[in-house]
Amino acid sequence: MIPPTYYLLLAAVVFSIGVFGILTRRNALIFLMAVELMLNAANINLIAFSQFYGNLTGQTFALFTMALAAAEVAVGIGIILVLFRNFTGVDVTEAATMRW
Amino acid sequence: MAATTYELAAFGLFAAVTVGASLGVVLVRDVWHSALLLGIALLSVAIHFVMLRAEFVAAMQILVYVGGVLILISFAVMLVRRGSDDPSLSTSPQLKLGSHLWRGLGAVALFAVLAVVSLRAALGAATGFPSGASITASIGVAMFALSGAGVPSETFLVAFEIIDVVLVAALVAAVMLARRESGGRLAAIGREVDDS
Amino acid sequence: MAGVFDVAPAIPLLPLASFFVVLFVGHLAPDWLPRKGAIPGIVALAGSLLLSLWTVATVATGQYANQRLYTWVAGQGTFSLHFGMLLDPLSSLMLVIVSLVALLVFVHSLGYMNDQGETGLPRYYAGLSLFAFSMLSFTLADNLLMAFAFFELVGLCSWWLIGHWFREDGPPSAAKKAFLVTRFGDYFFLVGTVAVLVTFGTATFAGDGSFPAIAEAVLAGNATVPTFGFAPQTWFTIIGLLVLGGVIGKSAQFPLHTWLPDAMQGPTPVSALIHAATMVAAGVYLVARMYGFYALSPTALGVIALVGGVTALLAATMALVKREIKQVLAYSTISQYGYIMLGLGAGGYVAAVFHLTTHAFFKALLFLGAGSVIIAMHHNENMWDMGGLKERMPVTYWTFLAGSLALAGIFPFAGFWSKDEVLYDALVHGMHSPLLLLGYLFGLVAVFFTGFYTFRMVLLTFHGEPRSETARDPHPVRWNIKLPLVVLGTLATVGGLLNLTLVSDVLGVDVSYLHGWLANGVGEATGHHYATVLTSVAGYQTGSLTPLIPAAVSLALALGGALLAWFLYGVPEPTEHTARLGAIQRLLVQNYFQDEYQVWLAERVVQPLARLADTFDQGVIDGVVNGVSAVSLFAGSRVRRLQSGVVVSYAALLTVGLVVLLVAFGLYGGWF
Repeated sequence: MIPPTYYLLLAAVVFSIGVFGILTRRNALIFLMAVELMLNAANINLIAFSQFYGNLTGQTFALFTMALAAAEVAVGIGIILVLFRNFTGVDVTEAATMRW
Repeated sequence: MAATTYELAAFGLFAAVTVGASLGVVLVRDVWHSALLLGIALLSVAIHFVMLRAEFVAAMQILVYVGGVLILISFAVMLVRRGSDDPSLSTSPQLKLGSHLWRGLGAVALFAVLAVVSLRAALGAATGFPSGASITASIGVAMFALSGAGVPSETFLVAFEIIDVVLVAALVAAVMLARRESGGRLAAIGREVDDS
Repeated sequence: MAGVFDVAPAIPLLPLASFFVVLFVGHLAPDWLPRKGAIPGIVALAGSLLLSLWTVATVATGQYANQRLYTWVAGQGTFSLHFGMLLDPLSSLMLVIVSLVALLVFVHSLGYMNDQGETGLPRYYAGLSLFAFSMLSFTLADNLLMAFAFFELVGLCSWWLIGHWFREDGPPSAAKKAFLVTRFGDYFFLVGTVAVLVTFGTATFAGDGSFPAIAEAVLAGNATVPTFGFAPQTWFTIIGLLVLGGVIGKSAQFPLHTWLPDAMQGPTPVSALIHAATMVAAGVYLVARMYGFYALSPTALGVIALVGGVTALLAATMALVKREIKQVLAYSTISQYGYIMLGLGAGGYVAAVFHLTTHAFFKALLFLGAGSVIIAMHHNENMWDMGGLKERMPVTYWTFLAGSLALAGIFPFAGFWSKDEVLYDALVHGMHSPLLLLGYLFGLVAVFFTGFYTFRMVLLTFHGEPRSETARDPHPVRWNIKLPLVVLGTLATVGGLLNLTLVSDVLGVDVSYLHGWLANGVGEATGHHYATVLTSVAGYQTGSLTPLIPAAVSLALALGGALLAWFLYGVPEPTEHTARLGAIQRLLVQNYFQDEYQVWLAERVVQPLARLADTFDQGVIDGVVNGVSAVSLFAGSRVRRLQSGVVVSYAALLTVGLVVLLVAFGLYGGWF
């Protein structure tokens, strides 16, 4: 089987790309998609180590993560809609009224 | 149990797909193209799962992520889009490069740290799944704290119940957020979003 | 029957009870207070007087008391602070004087305050009672710290009573001045008290473990105490001079005498009690109490004598030109206390105590007599508006004359014997010490002036033709004014019988009772021991001279001054002869510009210093505190800009923070 180090690296790359997306893009939807990427990177790690150690905890936990991701997207879309209504656009840098 | 060349080649191929699609998600100009590339990334992750003998999880990945989350995001993209005079609209994907990319240096540093740590980590001995055991059945047994699983695992009964409540809460929250205020005015559709 | 020492604490506590009664009943139910508070005070002081007389009787049999009553700080491995009681010849004598004069002043106040319809009387009688308590407690104090505490308390009562008519401008200002000037001296007293406690580990006046006894042992080489780098003799002198600061303030000696003439703004009975007989006596009484300590230091004694002599002369000159009767008496008080200090400094312990006793009587008499005159003249104190009161106020006149003869030192009145003995002691000890001789000469010149101003005062007030309507028809005074005058007048006449040293020396019979009285005491606090110490430690030598010659000289001077006054003012229509002195008169009327000088000191020296300290306090100390908070505020106002509201920057901060944490943990945990 493939050494889990490769999967670690793959997950690291995908995670970093997700963070990169958050840092560089201003569109709220791209934010959400980047967050999905990060969650998936974590899932890859879980599944890879689950196979490496022969224990199913990783796979089961990945299922829970997936459920949570779905719930989070649902709420996130709701927030984006509210954001869109109040600031006529989905630019996250526009919604900066909660500041000092 | 070392990896065969075929396995490594397959891994490399699909890893490239995943990475490429992810890069596309964050670098492409049009939001709709980003959503589609996200779908490709999620699918390739499902394939990775299959290669890791997590068939059930792979199936769930496609069902939930691609079939649920991605559709949801697509709806959102459509809802917040401007009309046909949106300059970001294009038929072929174009990369959005510019000075705004320098803000992502933190992510590069993070990747560097993670990579170094991963490469130097000393992992234990490899044990795979016992051959012939049903993984899906074992997942079910682990979820409900039953006995008789072929593969060892922890039990997740409490987590199962809690996730149930979380999903209901998310449902209620989404409905509440999407409601329009009574007497509120309808916002104008879409606006040019400039990243730089 | 219980011994008097068991009930002796009641001597000061009775007036204290009267204070509380007058204060609370006077505030809560004023109509119930008999005579607005005079009666409780009179009853209390009558009790104190009886107990004091009983104490004197007991002490006369040779029993003394030197006991602790209450320890308020029990030192662990160091000295303790306590209240106690020392009843020996000196203190029991003073107790009688104080309680007698206080009682007579209370009676006199019935006439001066109650009959004149004054307001605020409960406040007045409460103040008098508190003063009586403080003065009596001071008298029987057994240690220096307790004496200091009550020293301050009598100063407070003085402020209270001087400012009785506080709605006018003069009295509150005078009260403040009195308090501040005496407080200035008391500052040095406090430092001296602390020095005594730290050096000797005790502040008790008498007994085996008392600080004069320890000091004497140190100088004899039998004991050691910390002296902070000085030779023991020098250090003891310094302590003595520090305590002397309080004495000079309280007894109105030069240069802290400026408060006493202004204190005449208070009611006359207050002036009689506090500023003639008792409070100003507190200072010199303290020196007499500590005489075993002062006798070890010829330098301190010399300073006392010189201050006394200078004060006696200076104050006598200033009394020459005053127009108000109470002002003459005020300067006369300052001058006479100068004599007492001269006596103490010159080694005449008994003479000084004798003069203290007689002065208390005749000065209180003179003030009460002045009070009677002031009532008669409807509160007009100007002597040039008086005249011819002799026929209209006979009791007042004859008693006042008795007091004046005692003041001037005319034979055979009390003042003659005591002042003469003071001057004699100054002369015989001064024959071997130029400093004491100088003091004697000052005192001698002051005798002439004393005679002059005393009789100028008597003649202008009582003799000649009345110079105003009020003098022709004076307000009548009642028994409550006249009775104390008669009592004190008798004492002023026969008081000399206490100590007829002149007669003893000349005729060889022992009638100097005060010498015998003060020769004994507790431990080494005896007149006999003081005389020994003066010769052996302080090096005082006694010249041999018959006392008749100095007595004749001083009597001649006094009579000369009196006759000059008679010549100038004993005419039906006297003129202001002092105006002929020209510039000298202006200098004397302005009191040698001492008041202006002290105000100048306060404004030019003390105020800039105070302003400097204030600037330091507000600028540096407050500045540091405010600066700390300003730093905090500034930092806060800058750091809060991190919350820019832009999600992307938050995410960036998160990422950077995460990277840093991971690197840190990795380096620490050896991941790399």
